[in-house]
Amino acid sequence: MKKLRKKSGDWFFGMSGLQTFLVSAAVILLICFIDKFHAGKSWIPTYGQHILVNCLLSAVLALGLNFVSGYLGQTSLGHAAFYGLGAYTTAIVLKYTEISFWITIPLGMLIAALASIPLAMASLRVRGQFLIVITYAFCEILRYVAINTQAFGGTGGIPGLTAPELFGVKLTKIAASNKGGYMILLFLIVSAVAYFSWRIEHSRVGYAFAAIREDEIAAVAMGINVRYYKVLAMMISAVICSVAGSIQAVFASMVSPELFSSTKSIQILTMVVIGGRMSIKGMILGGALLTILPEIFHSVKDLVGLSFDPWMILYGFLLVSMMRFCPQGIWGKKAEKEDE
Amino acid sequence: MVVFLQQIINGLAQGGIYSLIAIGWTTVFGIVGVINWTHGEVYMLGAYTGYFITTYLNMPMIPALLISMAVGAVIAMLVDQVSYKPLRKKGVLAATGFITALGMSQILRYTASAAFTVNPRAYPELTKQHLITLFEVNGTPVTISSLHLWILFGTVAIMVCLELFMRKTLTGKAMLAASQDMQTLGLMGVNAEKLIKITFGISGALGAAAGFFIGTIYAINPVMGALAGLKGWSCAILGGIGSITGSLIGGVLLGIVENLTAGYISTGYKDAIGFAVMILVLLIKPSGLMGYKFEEKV
Amino acid sequence: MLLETKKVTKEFGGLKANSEIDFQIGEAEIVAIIGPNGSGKTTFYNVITGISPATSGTVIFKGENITRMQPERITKLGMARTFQNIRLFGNLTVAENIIIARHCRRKTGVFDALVHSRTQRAEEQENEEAIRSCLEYVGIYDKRDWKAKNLPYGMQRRLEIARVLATEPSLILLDEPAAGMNPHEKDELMEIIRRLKSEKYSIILIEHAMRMVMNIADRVVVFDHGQKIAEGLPGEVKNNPLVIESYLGKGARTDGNA
Repeated sequence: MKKLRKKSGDWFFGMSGLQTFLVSAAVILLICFIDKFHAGKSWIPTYGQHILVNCLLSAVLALGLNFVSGYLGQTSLGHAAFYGLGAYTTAIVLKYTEISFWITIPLGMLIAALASIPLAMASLRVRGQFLIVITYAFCEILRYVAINTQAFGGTGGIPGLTAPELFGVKLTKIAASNKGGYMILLFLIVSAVAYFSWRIEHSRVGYAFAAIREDEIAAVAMGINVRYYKVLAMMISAVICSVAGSIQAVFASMVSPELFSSTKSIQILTMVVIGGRMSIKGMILGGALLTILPEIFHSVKDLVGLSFDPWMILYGFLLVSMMRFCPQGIWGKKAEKEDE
Repeated sequence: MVVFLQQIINGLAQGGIYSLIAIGWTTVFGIVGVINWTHGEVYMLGAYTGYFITTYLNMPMIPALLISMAVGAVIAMLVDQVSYKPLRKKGVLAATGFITALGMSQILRYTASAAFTVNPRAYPELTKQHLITLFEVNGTPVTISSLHLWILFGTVAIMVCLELFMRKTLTGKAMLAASQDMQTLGLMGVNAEKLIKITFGISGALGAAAGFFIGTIYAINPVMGALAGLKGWSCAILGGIGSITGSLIGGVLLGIVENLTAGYISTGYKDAIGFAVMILVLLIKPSGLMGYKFEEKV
Repeated sequence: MLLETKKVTKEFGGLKANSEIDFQIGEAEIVAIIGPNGSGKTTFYNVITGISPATSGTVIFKGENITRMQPERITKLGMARTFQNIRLFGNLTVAENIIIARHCRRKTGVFDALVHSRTQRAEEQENEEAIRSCLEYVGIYDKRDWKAKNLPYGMQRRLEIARVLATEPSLILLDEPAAGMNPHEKDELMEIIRRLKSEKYSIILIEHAMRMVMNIADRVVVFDHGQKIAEGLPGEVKNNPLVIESYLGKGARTDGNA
């Protein structure tokens, strides 16, 4: 118990986990409501709030993938699949039925969990490099299904989703700007997932993940059911990513097959790698970096009038130099396992 | 029946191209142990090289193909020297190689987009295209386009050269042996770095050749490498990683299956079918058609 | 009998790595398996621990047929092993290695972790006790916060034994535990094994260090080319000409200290 507390201390700028939560909650609330007190004046530009919501969404995705790519140490290049599944489930249910948005979240989670089973089965049979390709291909297949199914809107996707209501108030109307409600909701989700990750990491389940990551055969010899824990990690991960998808669907008020794009999968993976595998705050940082940096370079592009987007090239350089000089990521623990 | 045969023949040329990509993947994977994600980009750059020298220098087909292959080889070797070699020296290639490859592929793909613009481009007409009747079934002709025949011929020629290189030369034999066991080979005094360089060269040349062939049929664009690369990898897995013959068979099979899917199911799912087949193969028989075991010694 | 194998055969693509092996071990017994490299000793371990099940034959442990049982269930039933080429969880601490070994005796799942339930807290307490007792048993408690891979070689071997103890086994399989140890470390290891025996653990020991085998084994079984070629008391086996021939090569003489 003492040890746990020691680990939870010094979470961020020397604050404990709880203190970090309270401080960041205060900051989020301030951002959401500051404009209410200054009618007509906008302190935080809507664009900034939009990016913040995206940062939080990315953080959820990174924390989700962290279960597979961090704790279990398996590289997955297909987590956009679960993100997309969550989004599409929400969109389809909202479009064709009267069911409330809040019910679509667990529905999406269920579907993502079911979809994760074949992937998890694959991870039992093949390892490392082969799993990367399977996950990638899995996501591509879903993208083709989304494109080719008329009921799912084809290439155009499903537009015109309305914002959800909470106790009769639209989520877009809660705070000063229409992003505020999402910001608070996502902040709560990120906090919950971060807490969950931290709890799992130091539990029997977390140690089972660690054993599989370090040496699968030794893990089996120690009596760990590798199949069960691989499926479990993939499911947890899928479920978390699908929540991000559901919220993305109503936040953007539309879904499109691009949710399943490999670019998205690669982005999720690099958030985990850059933030530092297994580091919870690293996931949040990684998510923020990979959301803010592209935006900065987009505006640079517009400012200078470049005919191409410099971010994608720099992104490549970032990955290559990261692997060369700091392979464990920004907040990751040193000394990764030497083979995938 | 005739339609069925026709679809198979239409798939052959495409399949040959996939085989070329797949062999490029599998040779590098066998020796370096990394999924060289930049392979699709080398394929794209090979296609662009072919485009520029045929369009602006009016070079005929065969020399243009050879030059594209040379350029592809150089690019692949450079990618290895710049990105993988330092990691290999540090001994961390297995853990960091894939993300590095992902990064390099981003750099190449989007630099190409910036330099060549994203607009698709088409090769000039290099040979006169006409349909050749192969045989007739109940009076209906089964045909093949002369261009496809040309591509098939080129693919086969390249494969024969590769096979001869692998079987007859010392370097080729060393490469085959290396894909089995790199460490022992190093102990036996084979210069591993040189071998790796040659492997990347060959892989690049094959990728570029595939790009060139594709360019003669379809329009090219800077992001074409992403999908083609993955399909090549699917074929390599389908045939069995590490087996050149397997890659060849896997490529041709995928080409045919895709055409049949387009013909009988839906063109929309043409690209997805390869992936579905690959996942199934990996789940049912992870060693692929021609076998490759990755079992861990206890 | 605690463990009994009947005509156990393991084939790899037609090659018999183990062929029709009959083997028994009783309570509180130490049986040594010796034999030249490649004679199928480690394969035999893999077969009985379920990591690569037998092609034919039966393995019976505590009266249960475990021939096709999943390896993690066999561990839970009370059989645990060490590895020839040490397989610790290198990037984790010594204490965490023990916690992982306690896995099969614990029950908490995701939900307990989430709410930090009473069971979870009790387990954390028990883990602490297990870490202390197991590590003190092999004498490396002071290294509990070291990363396993940073331990000196001899201590890594001992941590493997501690980790095995943490699974609460009744049968322990040691795969060349003395490999690479100096004479002093071997003596300490022998002390640990004797103590295990006195505490009613049964032990199967694959070992090349003949002095150790002759000193502590109750019975010796000899493997060669995947077959059991001899079995008996250490003294008998030592002088069996068949054994001397296969193990030390033709024309060799044994001085009991190979």
